[in-house]
Amino acid sequence: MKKTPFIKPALRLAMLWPHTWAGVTLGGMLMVIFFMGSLSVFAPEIDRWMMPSTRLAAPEGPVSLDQAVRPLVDRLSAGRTVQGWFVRLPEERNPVLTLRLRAEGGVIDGVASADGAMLPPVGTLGASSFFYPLHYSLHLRMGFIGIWIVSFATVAMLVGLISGVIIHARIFKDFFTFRSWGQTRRSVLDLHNLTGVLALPFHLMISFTGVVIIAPIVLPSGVNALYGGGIEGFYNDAIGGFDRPRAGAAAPLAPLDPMVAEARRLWGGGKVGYVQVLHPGDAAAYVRVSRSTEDRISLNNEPVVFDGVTGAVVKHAPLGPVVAAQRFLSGLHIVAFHHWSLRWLYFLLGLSGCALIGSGLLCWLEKRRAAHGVRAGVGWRVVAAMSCATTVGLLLATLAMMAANRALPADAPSRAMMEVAVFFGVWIASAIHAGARSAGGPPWRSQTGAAAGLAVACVALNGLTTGDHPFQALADGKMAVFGVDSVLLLTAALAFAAALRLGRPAKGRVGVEEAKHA
Amino acid sequence: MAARATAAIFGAYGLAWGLAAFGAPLGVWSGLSPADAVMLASLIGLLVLPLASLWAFAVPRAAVGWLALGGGGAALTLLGGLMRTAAP
Repeated sequence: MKKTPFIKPALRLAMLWPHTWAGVTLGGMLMVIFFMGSLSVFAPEIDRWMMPSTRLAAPEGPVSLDQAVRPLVDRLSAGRTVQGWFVRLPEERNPVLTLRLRAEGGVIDGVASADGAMLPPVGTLGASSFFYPLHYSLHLRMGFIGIWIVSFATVAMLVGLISGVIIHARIFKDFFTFRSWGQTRRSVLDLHNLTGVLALPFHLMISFTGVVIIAPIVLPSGVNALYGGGIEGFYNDAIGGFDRPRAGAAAPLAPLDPMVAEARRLWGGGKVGYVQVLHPGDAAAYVRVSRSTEDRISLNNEPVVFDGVTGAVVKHAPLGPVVAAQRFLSGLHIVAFHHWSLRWLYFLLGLSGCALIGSGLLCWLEKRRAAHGVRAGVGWRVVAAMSCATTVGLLLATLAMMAANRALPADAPSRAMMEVAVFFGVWIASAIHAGARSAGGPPWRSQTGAAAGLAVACVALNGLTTGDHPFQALADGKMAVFGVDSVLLLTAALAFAAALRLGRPAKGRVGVEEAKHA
Repeated sequence: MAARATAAIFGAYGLAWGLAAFGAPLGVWSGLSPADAVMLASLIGLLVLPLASLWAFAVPRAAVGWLALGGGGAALTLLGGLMRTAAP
């Protein structure tokens, strides 16, 4: 083996400590981020599965804002003063009108079909409002604290990747090395190297573009220097934001459809993604029309701002070159554009990130066990329990939430919150179970078996409560439902196989068995 | 190791902070729009951050790492502030 000349052995040695400890301390958090991120790639499809009333066919033509949407806004507001409203227009993956009104006394949400018929409340946060925010903010919204934590972990991921490359001597040989037989420790290390090397470009790209999206928030010194510390001021300038206060004088809102037509003319074609109306009925009303980005990688949605009373264009500024590059990098991360094979690849590579992090944690656990013998210390037990809870435990919590989504009655009060309670309840329970049983190694087998059962239960419950069992969904062309069911069944099969294999004492797992009897 | 770990976390972030604080007014001075200048400086800061973080472990003496990262960050932030007061 020829040594790489430009990496000195001392440097390689120095990289071991940050690689190991960044992984051991933040591996669990990164697991959550990577797993929820992988699910978010298919958030609209999982939403269809979790919101049966929205399993509709894609709309055929454009939706009229004046004829279909404005009557809905009047109906939802029921006479209350509306400070502003937002509508996301239907498209293939999201075939419903999503409305949000800011009115006197709070926010009003509504979902309607493309032809303007009100649908019952979805009764769930779904993937787009639960799994996705968990991915980027851990649902800790106050003061961007969750975003800071996720960004810190993401930089640690980059540190782990770069130090991993430096540590690694035989980068090309590991393309082809996976010894799945024999010693657990060796096959775990092989898996770590294989996923780390094969998917390295993806992992580097996804981690870096992840922090790029929120760069001005987590590294605000540039914004502080030029915008007096105001992040809104920066975004207004950078990506065409616009704001002005109420005038206090009444004036009717101009028709919206001509504004949409004008926006499309300015874009040179394209579809409307969403429309925001601020201060409707006031003389200072304004309307923001944003382009759908489903036909481009970049998140540049070219907002056009209109005066709400006269209908004249108030603001339409192209992005600067660097901001446009940042929007492109952000779009590369979010993969909202239409490209099914790429979307599946993102999903699988995201899961390979989970395999990379998980096998790294296992590697540390196996090595430590070999070093310490059967007496596991408190630190080892904590990492062991955390590894179990953030891998199989997280899968269990996700599946339990999806099962609860189908098992709870449609009209149950605070249904959405009950689902969230099931998610966290199962997650905490799996962590406690793992903690209590981790002396001889975490309860991989029982939890994996439970995951297999839950995944099958999800498919069965969906079939029973909606009638859309996989064959029916396929026959009706409900590909989102068919896809989610198929992945659930595949998950069940893999989890079942894993549980079977974990039950068989393999060579090199003797330590576990000994420890169980100790 | 504690000195290295803190240098890798806080020192490296300090350097990234300084790069963005200095790069933004420098970008404007060189003709970029404020929004582009802020974005470019932040992106460079974020690119350097993980590398600076690892360098804190590679440098022979932890104190040198702290001095270069933390001190460099502080110096750049100061320079950025000076540029802003000097420019109209």
